[in-house]
Amino acid sequence: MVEWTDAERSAITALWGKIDVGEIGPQALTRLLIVYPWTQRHFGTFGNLSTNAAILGNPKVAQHGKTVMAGLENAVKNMDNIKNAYAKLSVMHSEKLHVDPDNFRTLAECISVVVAAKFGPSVFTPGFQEAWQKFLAVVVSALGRQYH
Amino acid sequence: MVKWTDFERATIQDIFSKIDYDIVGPAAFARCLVVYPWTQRYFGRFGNLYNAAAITSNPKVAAHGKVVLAGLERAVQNMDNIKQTYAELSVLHSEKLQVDPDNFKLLADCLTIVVASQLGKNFTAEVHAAFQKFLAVAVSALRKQYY
Repeated sequence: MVEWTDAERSAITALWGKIDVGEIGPQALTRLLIVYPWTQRHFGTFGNLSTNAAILGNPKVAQHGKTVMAGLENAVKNMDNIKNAYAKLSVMHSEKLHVDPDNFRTLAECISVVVAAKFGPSVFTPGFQEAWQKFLAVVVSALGRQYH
Repeated sequence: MVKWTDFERATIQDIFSKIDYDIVGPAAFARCLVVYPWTQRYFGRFGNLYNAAAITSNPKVAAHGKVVLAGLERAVQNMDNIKQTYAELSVLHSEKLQVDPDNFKLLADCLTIVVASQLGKNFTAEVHAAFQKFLAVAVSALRKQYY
């Protein structure tokens, strides 16, 4: 089971309290689709993704970014049991959505970059970055858990 | 050979003209040691790396961060020939320093975080994509001489 220090728990709670999922979520997902363009293959039903401007203005991308980011709430609220909290989501991503789990790690990187850009180095300190990336790594691992 | 668009070239030159090497190098390197603690194994001679505060105030860490960024500057100035520019550095890292090349990506990620946090909303998705590509090329060139 994952061990969290008090410092890590409070860093994650502090960061989560500052994060507006409606803002950070869309930014992270649009970055994923622009910086790692092969990820667009999972979003064939989203309409126009043909240029960066199209991606940045696409309302389905924005909506989905919010959905994904809001999903992290479940992990923040269940930090000592993320594996079980995400069991059904993991099955869904593997059996229904067929998402390559490497993409979870890549999206986690994009989330971290957006958080860093938004809050700057005095909030997103090295200690906070360590806690936040550890948290995302645990979520990524939980999401990959039910894949065969 | 790597092809750079005009936007990518301009963006890389722009980023590196805007960042303060003496801040960004140490910050990125310190973050690497904090966020990925196993990387500390290469720096046994650096003194106190016991916690994040010790690492971020360690003068040897800061000095080495500047060395790393100075090395990256060489890629910025030779964007069409990064592979050749880094050939000796690659041999140094594999044969003398014996650094696991997976660590290059970790440092690149920390550099991205530091630059993003410095540039804020100017670190747009397109700027991010150009920077990511540049770092990927640098990392690949550093890996090239490993067997």
